[in-house]
Amino acid sequence: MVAMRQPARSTAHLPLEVPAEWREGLESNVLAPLARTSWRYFAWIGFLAVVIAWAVVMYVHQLQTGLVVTGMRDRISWGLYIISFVFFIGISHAGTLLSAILRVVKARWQLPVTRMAEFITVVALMVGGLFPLIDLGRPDRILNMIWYGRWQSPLVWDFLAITTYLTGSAIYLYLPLIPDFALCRDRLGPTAPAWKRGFFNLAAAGWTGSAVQRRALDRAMTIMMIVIIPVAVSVHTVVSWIFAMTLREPFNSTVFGAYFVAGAIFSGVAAIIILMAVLRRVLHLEEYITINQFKALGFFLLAMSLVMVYFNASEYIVTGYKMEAGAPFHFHDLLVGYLGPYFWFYLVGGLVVPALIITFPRTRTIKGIVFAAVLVLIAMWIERYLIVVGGFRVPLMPYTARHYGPSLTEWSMLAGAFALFALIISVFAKIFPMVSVWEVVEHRGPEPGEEVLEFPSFGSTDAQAPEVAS
Amino acid sequence: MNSAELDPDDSNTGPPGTVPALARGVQRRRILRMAGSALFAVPPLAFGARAWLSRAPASPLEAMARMSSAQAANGRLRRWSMVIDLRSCDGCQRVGKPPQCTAACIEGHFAPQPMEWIQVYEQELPGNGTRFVPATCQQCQNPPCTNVCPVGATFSTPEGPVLIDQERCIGCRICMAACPYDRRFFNWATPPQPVEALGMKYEVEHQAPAIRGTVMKCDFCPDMARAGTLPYCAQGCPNNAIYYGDLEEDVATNGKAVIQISRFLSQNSAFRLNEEYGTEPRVYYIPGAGEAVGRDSSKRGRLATVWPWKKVASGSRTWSR
Amino acid sequence: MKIPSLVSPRLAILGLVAGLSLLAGRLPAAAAGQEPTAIAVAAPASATIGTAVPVQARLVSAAGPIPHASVDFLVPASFLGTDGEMKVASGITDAQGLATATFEARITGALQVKAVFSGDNTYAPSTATSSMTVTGSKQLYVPDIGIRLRGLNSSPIAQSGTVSHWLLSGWPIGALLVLIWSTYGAAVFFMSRISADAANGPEAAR
Ligand code: SF4
Ligand code: SF4
Ligand code: SF4
Repeated sequence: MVAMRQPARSTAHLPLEVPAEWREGLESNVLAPLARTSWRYFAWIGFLAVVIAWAVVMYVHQLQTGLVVTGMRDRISWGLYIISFVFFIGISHAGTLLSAILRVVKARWQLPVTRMAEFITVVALMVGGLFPLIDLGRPDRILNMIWYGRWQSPLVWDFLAITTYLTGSAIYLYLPLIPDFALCRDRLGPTAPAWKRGFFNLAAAGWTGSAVQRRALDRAMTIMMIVIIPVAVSVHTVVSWIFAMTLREPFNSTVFGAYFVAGAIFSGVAAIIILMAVLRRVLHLEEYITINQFKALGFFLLAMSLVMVYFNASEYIVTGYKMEAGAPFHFHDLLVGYLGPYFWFYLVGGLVVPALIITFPRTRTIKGIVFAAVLVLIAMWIERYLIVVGGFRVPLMPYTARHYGPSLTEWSMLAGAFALFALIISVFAKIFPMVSVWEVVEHRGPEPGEEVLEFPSFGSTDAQAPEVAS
Repeated sequence: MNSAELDPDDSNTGPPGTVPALARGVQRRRILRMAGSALFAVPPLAFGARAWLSRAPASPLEAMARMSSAQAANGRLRRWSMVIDLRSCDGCQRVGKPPQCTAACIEGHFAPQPMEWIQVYEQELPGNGTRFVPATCQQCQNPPCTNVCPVGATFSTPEGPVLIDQERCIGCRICMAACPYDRRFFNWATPPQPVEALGMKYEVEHQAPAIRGTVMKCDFCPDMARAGTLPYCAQGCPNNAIYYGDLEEDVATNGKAVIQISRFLSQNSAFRLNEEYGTEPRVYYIPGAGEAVGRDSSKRGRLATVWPWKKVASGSRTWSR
Repeated sequence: MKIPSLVSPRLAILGLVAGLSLLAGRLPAAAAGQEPTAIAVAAPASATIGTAVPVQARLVSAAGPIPHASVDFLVPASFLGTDGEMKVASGITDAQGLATATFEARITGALQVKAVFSGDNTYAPSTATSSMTVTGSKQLYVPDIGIRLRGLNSSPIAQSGTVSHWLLSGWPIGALLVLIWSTYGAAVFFMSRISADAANGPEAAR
């Protein structure tokens, strides 16, 4: 039965102006990984599984022994876990936000990367959301958050914000996937296993590309891409409030929300660049993801690094100028003290060098931009380290400041989180097309990068919609 | 996305809208669709409905709520408070022992090592001297720690003390981030407590036995005060530097003299720690550096606190702060 | 300030002088070189807690009123197992030997207000008491926390009760959430139209 319908659906729901062989090429390229699986893939998955298993073992050990197995103690009572939480939520930030902003302004060059960006958001949120749980002293009582949850607690805000953002991002990821699921469904060979057929059938939601469907999809996407922008911005603001709602010297800052949002976008864009480079190589998408996308995101990274400079200036100059109690200690720590090397790496290696790499045409290659992105990602992780550890280190009472060194357990958990992140992406890359085929096809006209300002037909009004399909 | 929509037979049934069966199907789908969309209002509502469910796990905090509060003779509520006279605190240099307030509190509460619920900090003074500042939980009246607790495990009681219900605490430690006085302690491992603590019935006001993965701190001993005695720390101080009292009746005692708190504070230029935070502590200090008990402010150092437990709970281990 | 039942100063002085001459022979044995003194204290017979209670003492020696002397006023108090007298006020005598002060009554019951002159190089110490009754049951101490925000600064005990209280205390957050989630709901509604139209192929749009 399914086979009977295939011809009608697979040809008719894509615009016909696109050269058939180009479209065929795109489809087969993008869908290829979904069909074939090499031994390398399994080796990779196996490796990730081992890392995750190790982290699970360490976590069980932590459950049995208590949080004493971490480097945290009373005076630095949050450490790597909360740092990583902030980091992953930060990474999650750029994906959906970027994709939504660019969709709203109808920037066409980004179409091949939106899918990856949205994936990063969903996956990073899932992974990042684990960290507060890992950090709990009594994870067995997590339901108390429901039984006794209080509106007044920043942690409850976090909990609500992240579930809200995750749900929104998932919907926003799923919507543009529908036509691609339909494509997969229609392209499944006769040898495809039944579960795959069933899955795509279900996921495609009966998409045929009819005018009604296109209009419905258009509306749903328009709603989501608009609502997800304020949601994304506020989520990271709320994350910053678990710090900014305290009276500790470096946390007690009104600029923290915006500072965290900027940092989140900065690190998120870097993450997108890296994932883009990896997937491009692994999935052989060189034809669709070109230097143009890298350059565009690289320029965005450059702009964000300047924004970060601005935020660092407003944060550090304002407090450093007045040198309230606690500030001298903090600045000593950052500039010449305990955290000095990290701070200077963050400033130079994370803000200045990437900006320079992207500024000079000679280094503005894919390799250069990816290198800059890696630097940014490391630096932003360190920045969170500086914020959390540096903030907790400032003595509140007359005692000697404590040192913090993450323990093996904490590092294992971080490695496990990265492995989980990679694992979910790898598995998703097997199931979902990593490039939004229908959007790329629909908007293919001039080469990517040219005439970017011309409005694509996506987001068409009701009146236009029938035309598209006819 | 019910199965009917994916039924491949659908497309072969005929032109849409002409077959009554299909029309019914559409009708049914519309209702399902409505219901599906309505589902999206569920998570926030579910969170909202938690109040109905909060008849769930009973916790000592509810017992507290039912418990009658301490009252003065004529039905007025006590408002516990503390005044620490730094003129009389020499960090127990005179008696040549570790701070005895800390020791008494530890013995009374079986406080696990390394928790010093009342900790005697040595603070630098202008000039070359130091002074000793015994710090309990400051029992803030605008307590940042209770504001941030996601589960209401830490709370202010009407009598003032800020308490923690360790049977509700989820160990998120945001309260430790919020407390600006370094006065909260976490049970990082199974806490090293003497065996007799383990047999006790847990109470919010006594916090024994301690529970791994939860936060503890000075509870201000309202149970002791209700029973008519001074807290362990005030009893333990050899110099009677710690006054414990009731702001409602404006009276406090250190075990030797009775003072009118308001007058005593004003007459002796009392201060509170970090007034600028706006936490409004209930613990007041009278400035001084132990001069009333003959300490010279240049004599530094106090002995380190020891935990006297001979035999602690098995499987426990200690840690450093 | 209202002095409800304070004995008129004039009467007090007269009484004092009379009493003093009677008691002259029974004054406490003064240390060598110290003149014996007598003190009298006047306080209202009754007071309400939370109000300022005026007290007055007159300090005299055989030679007449003693000026510029410090007089303390004490009330007995018993708290957490400690009995004692707590100092509630003090004053300096004027040219008539009168020391005036006020204190805020906080402890209810029968009080013996005691005026104490501790003596100095010239004068020997002396004390006197006066009884008064303090009544009232008003809660006087109010936690001092500046601005009260609903739900903040208050004990969760107080708010663990009703659904309505809980929902009300967080309504802005709740409203925001409902807003966002209903937007999601709208998107999902449109999404569900896709499957509703599954029967129609692309040609149906023509
Ligand atoms: S650690 Fe416990 S008491 Fe502290 S905020 Fe978290 S749940 Fe509340
Ligand atoms: S001192 Fe710290 S723990 Fe105690 S009430 Fe204040 S903020 Fe809370
Ligand atoms: S008041 Fe009680 S709990 Fe607090 S330090 Fe004193 S003895 Fe310890």
